[in-house]
Amino acid sequence: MCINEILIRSYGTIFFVNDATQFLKNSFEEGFYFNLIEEFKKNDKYVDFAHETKKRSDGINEKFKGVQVIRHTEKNKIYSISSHGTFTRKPNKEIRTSFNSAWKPEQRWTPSTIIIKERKICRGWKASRSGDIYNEVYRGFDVKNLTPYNEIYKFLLKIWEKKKDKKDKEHPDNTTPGKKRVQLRGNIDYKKIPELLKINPKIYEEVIDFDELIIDRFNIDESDKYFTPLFFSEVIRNYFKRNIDEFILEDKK
Amino acid sequence: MIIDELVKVFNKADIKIHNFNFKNDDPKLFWEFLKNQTFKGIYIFKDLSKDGIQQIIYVGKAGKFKNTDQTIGTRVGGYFYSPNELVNFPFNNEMNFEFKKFNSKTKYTKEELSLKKNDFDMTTIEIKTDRTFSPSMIESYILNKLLKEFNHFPRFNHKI
Repeated sequence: MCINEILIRSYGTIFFVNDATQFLKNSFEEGFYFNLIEEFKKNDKYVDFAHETKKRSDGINEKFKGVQVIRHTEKNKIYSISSHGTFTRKPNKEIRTSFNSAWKPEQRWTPSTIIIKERKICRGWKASRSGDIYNEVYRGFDVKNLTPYNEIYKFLLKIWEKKKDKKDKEHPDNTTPGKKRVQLRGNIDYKKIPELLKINPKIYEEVIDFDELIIDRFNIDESDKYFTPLFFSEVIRNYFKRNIDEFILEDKK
Repeated sequence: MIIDELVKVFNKADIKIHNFNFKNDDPKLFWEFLKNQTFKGIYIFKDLSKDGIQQIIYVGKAGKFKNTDQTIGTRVGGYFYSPNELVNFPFNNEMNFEFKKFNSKTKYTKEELSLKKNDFDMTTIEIKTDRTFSPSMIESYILNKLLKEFNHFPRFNHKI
């Protein structure tokens, strides 16, 4: 079934978003997702982020709390469903009353990233390809052959020295060539990603413009009476997994 | 109560509830019970010395949306001492029930991890259907209900 088909409003269904159990029940009904968007719009808790960035490029609040769904405007594709905001415990077991961390979407590079200023999402960072390009461009390292070895050794030694918990087995004298490659590919400065994308667009498998996307944002903060972002996102994820055959989603759930 | 509500949402073809405690079940069969949880789903640990919803001390999940190798039986092994590790299995030297560890950065004392033997209870929710719903969803549903409707954060859960 395509997204547009399942988004058709199911008239006659009473739609509740003020009870977790009823919400779960509703997710088995046709038209659930469309109704959800309408309901959140009514309560001023919904925004299409892709559209929002078109209206204005400055002053966009990136610290979003809630659930975000990235989908194609026409094709039968969901790219991601993510929840932002969890209640956690402090090391002394006390429960934090505010969400643990604000979401910073551009501060990650793998498996995908968002470049808000350029209104793009990039999917498919592969460590053995993209990470090697990064190392070649910014460090002059050939990761596959580990050359120039002395420079690579010095770089990895610096990383080891900065660690609070230094373990001998992680000292570059004691790591295998394979481990060294993993470390080089994993040590990426996310701030360089937009520039690297211009130098070599192949660092990502797919770059999609915001104009081709709908980015549904459901605002759910700490004070929400009924939902945690995680539960809300899981219900949506399960709904789409049940209803869409072609489901592009980089997750393991 | 929450489990009853869950049972009403789904039907018997979708989920099945299993339970073990030392009041009603032979302690010697505890390891057998764990090994027999050969399905994906949810596991809930309870401390029966508490009242009502406060009894729930941990909610966890095993398996994914579609067919999966991970089962509750393979997932929960790490929480408990094995028969080889305890002379009085499943009880410690004080003849209490003791959790081995929880997958959390939070450290717990031996006392915190121990319950009087008849106070331990384990409920599992077997998800019988593939492509209907995931263990992650049911886990997050239960934790959401506990926190938002009962203001209860199970003491061994680290994240909701």
